This record gives sequence, C-alpha cells and structure tokens, in this order.
Amino acid sequence: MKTSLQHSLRGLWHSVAFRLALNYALLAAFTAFVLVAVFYLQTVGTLKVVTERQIAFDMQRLESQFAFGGRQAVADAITRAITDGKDSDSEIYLLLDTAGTPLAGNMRQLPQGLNHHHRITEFLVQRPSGEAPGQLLMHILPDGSRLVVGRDMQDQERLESLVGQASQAAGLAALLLVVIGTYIFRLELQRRIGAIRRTTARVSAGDITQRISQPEQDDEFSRLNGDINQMLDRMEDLMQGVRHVSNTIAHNLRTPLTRILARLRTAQGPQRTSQELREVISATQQEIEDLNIVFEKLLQIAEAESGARRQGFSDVLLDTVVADVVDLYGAVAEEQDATLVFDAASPANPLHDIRVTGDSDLLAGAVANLVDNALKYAGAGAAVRLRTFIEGDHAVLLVQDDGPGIAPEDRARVGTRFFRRSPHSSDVPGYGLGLSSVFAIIHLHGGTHTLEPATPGTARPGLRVRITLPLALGPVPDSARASLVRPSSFPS
Amino acid sequence: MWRCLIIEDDADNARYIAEGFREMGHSPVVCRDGLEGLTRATSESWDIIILDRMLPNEVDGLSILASLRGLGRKTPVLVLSALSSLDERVRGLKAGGDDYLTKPFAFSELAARAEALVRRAQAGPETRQLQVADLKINLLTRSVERGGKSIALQPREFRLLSYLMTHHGQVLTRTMLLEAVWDYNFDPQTNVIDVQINRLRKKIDHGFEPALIHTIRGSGYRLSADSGNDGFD
Repeated sequence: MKTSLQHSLRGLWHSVAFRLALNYALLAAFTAFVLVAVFYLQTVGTLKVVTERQIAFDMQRLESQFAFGGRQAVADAITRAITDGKDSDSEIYLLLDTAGTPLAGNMRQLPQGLNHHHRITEFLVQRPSGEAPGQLLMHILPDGSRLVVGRDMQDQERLESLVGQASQAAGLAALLLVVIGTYIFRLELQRRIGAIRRTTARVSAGDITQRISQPEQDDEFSRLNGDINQMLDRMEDLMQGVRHVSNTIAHNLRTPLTRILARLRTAQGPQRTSQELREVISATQQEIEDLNIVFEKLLQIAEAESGARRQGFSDVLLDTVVADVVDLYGAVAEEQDATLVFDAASPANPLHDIRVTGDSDLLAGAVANLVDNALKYAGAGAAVRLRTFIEGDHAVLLVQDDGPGIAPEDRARVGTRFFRRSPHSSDVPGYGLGLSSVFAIIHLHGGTHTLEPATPGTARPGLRVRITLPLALGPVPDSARASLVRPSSFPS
Repeated sequence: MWRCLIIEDDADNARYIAEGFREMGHSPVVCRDGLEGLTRATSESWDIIILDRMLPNEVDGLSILASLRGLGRKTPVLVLSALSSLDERVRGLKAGGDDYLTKPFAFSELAARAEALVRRAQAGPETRQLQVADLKINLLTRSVERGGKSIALQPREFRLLSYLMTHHGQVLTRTMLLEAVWDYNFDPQTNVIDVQINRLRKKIDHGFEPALIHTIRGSGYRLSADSGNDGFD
C-alpha cells in the first residue's frame, strides 16, 4: 500500500505537466506573497511608525510645558488634551507625583513593570472598554514626578488582524485557483499528448497507416502532430518500397540462381569432358558476375531511395556533368550513326552556370543512363538531343530521342524495377534497372521527373525525359569557383 | 618483383589474391588479423599492401591504415571492402588509402590497380614527351605523331591516349579509364569505354605497324609495342 502510494507520488513528481504547473503555482504564490507583504508594510508598518512618532512628540510637548510652568502646567495640558476631542479614544496620559498619586490623565494606574525606560514599550492597560494593548513611554520629570504618554493600539491591532485575514483569504484563493489551473492544464496536456501516444502505440503494434488527427488550432502541438504524421508517411512509403522491392528482387535474382544451379548440377553428371566443364565454369562465372552487377545496382537504388548518400553532397555544375557524359557517349553515337547534341544553357559565361547540390558521380550515372537508353531504343541513325535551362528556382534537363517511345500502357510501369519496355529483345542489352536507378537518384537530389512523347501523334513519337533539380542556394565564392573547374591533368 | 602484404582474414579470398600475385612473379605474404598486419606493415618494407576492411575482432582495416599513415609510412595501400557506397569509398581514401576496390572483384582489376599504384610510387620526374614504338606525344604542346605523320585528336581522345601512354605496358581496366580520363566513378552502361578505345584505335593504330592498343580479354586495355597477353582471366 505504502509503496504504491510512493510510486504514484514519484510518478506525479516526475510528470512534466505537474512540474510546469507547480512552477507556475509557486510563481503565483510568490507574487501574491510579495504583494501582500508590500501592502502590509505600507499599511500596518506605517501606522506603527506614525504612532510612535506621535507619542514621542507628545512627550516632548509636555516636557516643554513643565519647563514652562512646572508640574501644574503639565497637568493642565494633559487635561486639555484629554478633553479636546482629538484622538480621545486612543491617547493615554498619566501624571504621577513622587509618591505615586495620579495628578492628571486618563489611565487609572501605572501598569506593572513600567519603569523609567526611554523606550516605547507595549503594555496591557486598563481602559474604559476593558483591557487593551497600548504603547507607553515614561519619563521622570526633573521634580521627580512621572509622566506617561501612550497610545491605545486596539484599533491598530484590529486592522492588523483584518489585513492578516485578508491576506490569508487571498492566499487560499490563489492556491485554490492554482490547484484548479494545474489540474486543467494537466488534463489538456494529457489530452494532446494522449492523442499522439495512442497513434504511435497503434503504429508500433503494426498498423503503419494510422495518423494523428489534426485539430483546427495551429499551436505547437498541432505542428508536432504534423511532423509526426509526415514522418509516418515517409515510413509508410519506405515500407511499401521495401515490400515491392523484395518481391521483384526475389524473382529476378532467384531465376538466374536457379539457372546456375541447374547448370552446375548437370555438369556434375558422369562423363563430362574437361572442355565441357571449362565451358560450364566460364558460363557460370559470367552469370554470377551479371548477378553481381544487378545486385550492385539494386543496392545503389536502395541507397539512393533511402537518402543515405545526402551527406556527401556538394556543388555540382550540371552543364559540366551533361557535357562530360555527352562526350563519353559521343563515340557510341558515332558508331551507330546517331547524332548526340547538347544545347547548354550557359555556353560561355560561368556566372550563369547551373549549379545544383548533389553528387556528381550519381548525376553523371543518371544522365549516362538516359543517354544510353535514348541511343539504345532509338537505334541506328537516331537523333538524341539534350538541353539544360533554368526555370524559376529549378534546373531543367531534357533528354529527347526520336525512337519508338513508350507505349501508353507501359508508361506507368516504366521505372519500376526490372521492367523492360517493348520492343525489347535479347539484342538490346540491359537489366531493366536503369530508369529506376535514374528516378531514385533524381528523387534523392530533391528533383522530379516526367516522361512524355517528344513528337506525339507521329509514327515514331520518341521519348522526352524531363528532369528538374532544385538549384543550389547562394552565390559561388571565387575560391569555390576555381575548385568547380575540372582539373586538366588526371591522377596517374 | 614486388613484396606484397595481404591483410585479409577470409582464407579463400586471401589465397586467391596471393596466388594471383605469385603467378605474376611477385612474392606475397598473408596476414590474417589486424594486429599481425599492422606489425608487419610497419616493421618491414613493402611495395604494395592489400588491406581488407573487415578484420577479426571487429577491427576496421581503416584504423590500421590510419596508424600506418600516422607513423609516416607512405607504402601504397589498396583497400578492399564489401562496403561499396560512395561514402565508404571516400572514407577509405581519406583515411590514407590510395585506391579502393569493392568485393567481389576480378583479380585482373586488382592487379591492374596495384600495378598503377606501385608504378606511381616508383615514378621518376614527370616527362613531357612520351614515346612507344613510333608513336610520340608531347604533353605540353599536345601534339601527337606516328611514323612522322601528325595526328589530330579531340581533347578527350588526347587525355585517353596520354593515360594509356603514361601507363604503357600496364593493364588498365574500364573503370580505371573512366575515373582517370573522365573523372567519374559510376558504372557505365554497355561498352561505352570500348567504343571510345575503338575510335582512338582508328586514329592511331589503323594503317600503322605494330598495333599498340591491345584488348586484354576480361580485364581492359594495354598500350605497348609487344602484344604479349598477360592473361589475368
């Protein structure tokens, strides 16, 4: 019993809601306390000081009366003061002769213990209304008689207690408000957090489609909800991707593996000549190397899709990359009597160079893939054109060929792994991974892609691939510009 | 003949590499773990070190490389790894590696790259004129002539020829050529390098004797006056 209470108390203590609320409560209480203290000091404190000054002043006045007219003058002054109607219920006077007989004043007798102090002290005095607290000062006059001046503190004390009560009431009210406020705050916090926790619990249990419902208000929690929902969207995408990939991979890797195993099993049969065995080994080696390439490409696509390579990104001059790829494939184009042309956006002026943030090897690979595809599918005598330009805050690359293009029914599937568009035969080499790799790379760079026919409605509509990439931000500093130029010498 | 140190814990792979080097006429030594590898690398002199990244006891070969470089040793190191991402490659080269090869690899690729590293380490001062048989190129004036006839080459063709000539006699793989001449590290589709080589051949080999650019089946290309096939298949 005790431990569960301790446990729940500890839990309460560690609750953020509780601690926040407690902090505010303490702050509120402290503020209230300060205000009350100031008020108290200003009222009650001041009153006390004023009273003491009055007593001292009166004493001084009466003593000067003595100097003026002796004991009788003092007695007269006292009588006058008592009967003048000013402060009559609070002023206290008493004049005693050397024997202790009262000569004037409104106090019946000298309180016990009141000696010749030069300090104002508090004593209980007998008043018409009863016993009351009073502040008294006693001086001994030069002729030996004793003079007592004082003030009745009853009213002040009543005021003090009134103020005290009011403060207590205010304090209690504040405390009550704070407790209620804490409770409400905690409820609200738990409500907002509860929504998040419920959704994440469901996701953890396996339902990735769950999302946190968004209320209308745009506060910090709504934004948090939005962020979490976005993250869940991304996770769902990745999971779908993985599911799709493992299916196609399973098929496209198992088939060659089965082939290899079959060939090796057959080769183990009796009476195989060493020539036959050598052929089997060579063919198997080739198949495994091909398999390795497919594997490598898949890995690269997976890496690109997961965004894992974004750390290595730097400024890349898009025109340079495209020009290099065009140069590389120039010989291939020549060989098949095709024309390969690049209209660069920025022929001469480096200040208008198109800069994107990314990885030049990945981008070169993607462009190479597109050029390769264009030359491959458009065939002999093809005309392949590339163009780059800036549109708003994006760079655009167009790769266009005049081949047979993509049939409308295939257009959706292009870019999925292992899909080869028709017409394809065994003399058009490839693995069906090129476009998926290209799209994954473009996507990794924050870009988009579209495929459309180059000349729609004609017999050979061709294909135009349109790639957009976000431009790199910021101007190029001169030092960086120098390093963006490709070195003219090569590493030996 | 090179002294090659192979730091690799997989027995089959280590044997594959060691036998390859032995066939080339070099003398390989195999170390199966990082500590032994580091000790031998620092205490003896080697022409080339082949270093695998995944070593026993979760040692990353790059830490050995860093120690080696930290001690001021400039032995050429070729890093092997199953980790193929560009980030890992960059890490390998930044740690002091001279080249980075991903597994699985053909020994011919390893041999070609190893040769390039050893030659580079032994290289003398840079020359500006190169000549193989009757083919002459001048790296400064960028002029090419063969048999007294001047040959016009496009800039990239000249770069390709210079690379072949600077490394004459060595086998240069397609990936090495793509890296060195076009400065890119990606896997080219089809046979784009082959076509480039063929175009170069048309200009500098056709109509001349002897043929200088040889295709080494399964490996790459080699420029040399003799047609000896080293056969690294």
